[in-house]
Amino acid sequence: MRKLIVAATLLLAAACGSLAIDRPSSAADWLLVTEFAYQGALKSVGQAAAAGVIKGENATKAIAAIKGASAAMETFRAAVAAGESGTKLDVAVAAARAAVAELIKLAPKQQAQRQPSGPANDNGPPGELERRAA
Amino acid sequence: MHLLALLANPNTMAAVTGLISLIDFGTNRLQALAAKQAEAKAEGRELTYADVAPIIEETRRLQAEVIAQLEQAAKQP
Repeated sequence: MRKLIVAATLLLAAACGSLAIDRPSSAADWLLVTEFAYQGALKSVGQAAAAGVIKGENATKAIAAIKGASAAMETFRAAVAAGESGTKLDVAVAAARAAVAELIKLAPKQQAQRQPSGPANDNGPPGELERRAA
Repeated sequence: MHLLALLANPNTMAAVTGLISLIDFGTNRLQALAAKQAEAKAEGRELTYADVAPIIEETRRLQAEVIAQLEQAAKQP
């Protein structure tokens, strides 16, 4: 049953995190979908903790990962709020997406000890915003 | 009998409830995303930081909840 929960959680997190993230067209659009992806990742981790999949030392690691993701998200939010563009914004987007992707991988990582398999992590190409703006 | 025993297990029910809640959450987020994009499109503009600000507050609240949950989980061996 736990394997089923983790698999379903992973699928949902991937849907929230990857599918939606490929659609944005402006910086605020990017921020919105990344916020939702982050929310999906947070919810997944919360559910995994509630199901007892994440506990003890792993829960401490999860807290550290969330704090790291939170810092990356704050940088991204500040960049969008300040109207940043170009490389500076791209770097903030990439950092936030990478942090969210790390968080998404967290729940299945606990399961990996028993079932060493998982989906590919596609963070997409860098410089997406610059290409769109050009 | 095996299935009945599984269904009678409170952990199974808790897991199923959690799963439904998670799916509902994901669906809700995707709908909110579509709604925000449609709203901006109808007004002939792109999304701005102001559109995202309420969502950011939601995220911060959720983050605080999950960290509190994890702090509890961290106490378990």
